[in-house]
Amino acid sequence: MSIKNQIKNLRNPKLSQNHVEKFINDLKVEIEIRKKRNTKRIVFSSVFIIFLLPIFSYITFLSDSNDTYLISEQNSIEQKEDFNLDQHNLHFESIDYIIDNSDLIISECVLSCDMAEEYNSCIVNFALGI
Amino acid sequence: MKSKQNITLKLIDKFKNGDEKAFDEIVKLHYESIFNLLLRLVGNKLDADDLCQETFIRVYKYIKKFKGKSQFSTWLYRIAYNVANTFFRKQKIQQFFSYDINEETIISNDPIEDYEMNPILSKNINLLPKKQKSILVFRIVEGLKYKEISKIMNISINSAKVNYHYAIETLKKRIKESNVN
Repeated sequence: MSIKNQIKNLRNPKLSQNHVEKFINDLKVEIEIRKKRNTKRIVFSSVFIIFLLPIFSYITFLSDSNDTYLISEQNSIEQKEDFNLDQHNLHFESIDYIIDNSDLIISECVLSCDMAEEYNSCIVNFALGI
Repeated sequence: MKSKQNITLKLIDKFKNGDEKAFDEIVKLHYESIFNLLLRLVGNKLDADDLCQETFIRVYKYIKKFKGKSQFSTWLYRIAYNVANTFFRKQKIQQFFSYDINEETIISNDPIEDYEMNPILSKNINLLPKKQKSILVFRIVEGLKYKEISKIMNISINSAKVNYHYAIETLKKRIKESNVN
């Protein structure tokens, strides 16, 4: 007999009706367990998003808003507090530079730059790397 | 075969409309073929049973997304094949981290041979590379066309044909060697 026919003739185990019923019952139980597990996961994720994420965002915002600079009437930025611009690979030469590269800086910064032209100087708070 | 597809499609519609019992009927209709397929792929009843459960859990999860554009059996075989592949990957990792377990001890755990008429053939099928074994089972045991096999396994039709040819040749060679010994 050829290999193909031998394989075709391989006997599969006989599955009784009870076996199938038991399988379906076990399957239902497992599906219910996984549904509950999924619900818990969804609840936990929602709690994380609703409560914890805003807290983390606020903390991040606080730490970012400490970067304070002075824009002088010569349109140059001077470092006001202990903050090394070189460490952040940023170098600002003029307000035009800030405006041209505004993708680095949040929109509030650009608004503040407009104010700088009006009042000759102002303090700008911005988040780096945005 | 076509009527099985039609019955399944009607049951899927019922299930989509909230009839949970329709899912039981779907399982009843396809359990045997999936169990036998997985049994041939993994080589023992215990793992085949677990993987069968995992397959139908995935079916339950995704059946509402099944649009009926392809044969339900092809879709189902593909899920079972993916489940088996995940199992093989886990088994490989377990083997890597364990000194005691080797491939033969895993295969001989609750083996097929106890109800098998041709244990030498079964053992040699189990020793084939996973890809060749899967193609052999799909082609001969399940009677699928190369086109369907290529869809299930996400390979080209040519690759399916070549691997099938290699599997048959390897089996012939090994069985000949077994008979000589």
